[in-house]
Amino acid sequence: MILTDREIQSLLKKGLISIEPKPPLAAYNSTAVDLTLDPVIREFRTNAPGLIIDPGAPGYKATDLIRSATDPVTIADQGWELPRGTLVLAWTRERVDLDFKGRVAARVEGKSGLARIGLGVHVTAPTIHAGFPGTIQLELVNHGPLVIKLRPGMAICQLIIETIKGTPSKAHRSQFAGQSAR
Amino acid sequence: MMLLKIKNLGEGLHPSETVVLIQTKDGPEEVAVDAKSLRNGTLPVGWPVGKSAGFLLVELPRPTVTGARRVWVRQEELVPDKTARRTA
Repeated sequence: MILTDREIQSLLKKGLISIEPKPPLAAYNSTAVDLTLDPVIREFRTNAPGLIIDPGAPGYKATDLIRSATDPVTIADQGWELPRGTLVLAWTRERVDLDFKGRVAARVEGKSGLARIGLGVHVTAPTIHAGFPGTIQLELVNHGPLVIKLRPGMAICQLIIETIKGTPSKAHRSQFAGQSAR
Repeated sequence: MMLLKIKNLGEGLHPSETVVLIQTKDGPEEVAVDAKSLRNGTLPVGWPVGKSAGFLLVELPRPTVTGARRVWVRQEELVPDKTARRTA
């Protein structure tokens, strides 16, 4: 069940979820809340001849590969141009914490105005699991025919929060609890 | 709730992230986690979700760099989180 703006605000008020910095009222719509773009992104180097990604190989480490194949970029207030057909990694400025006590999970989705100019904000991985803490990583892709300028603080995606049925195992004190290090 | 012992390896792909090393049944694994969620050399992992031959199965807040979300760890790698409230 998707939460309405009032229900999201109620959970925030009760401390059952948190979004920091706190979104202004204008960032909400009836069933989502907009999140904004952090200035730090990572740009893939295009001069990596012969580099083939082999994610199924033993010992493959996504983070190491991304670190070696990308450079951090801090977007200035005047913006940064995302070329056509280009993927960059980005993050929300907001830190989201979906505490288990709130019994919610979420999805990060694009905004229609950005979608219509070809900007995708994730690549098939929109789920924010129950219990998640942190800023949300985005995969920004310019699918459109024109260059798109990114600016820090722009509304980049929307967070849709849903209730979960029951309590996940890791939030439930089971028969395994209390059997560890003493 | 339990805390998993970690070794801090440094900043992740974004300043909000920290890469940590954890010891699993299959050897050391790296995980990029939210830096603010770390507590004195430990990472909150909730309650274990399985047990086998001295190992406990825990679900990490984010996948390891090799893609595992749940990992087996020695019981000694976990310490109780005395600040957590019961949730279930």
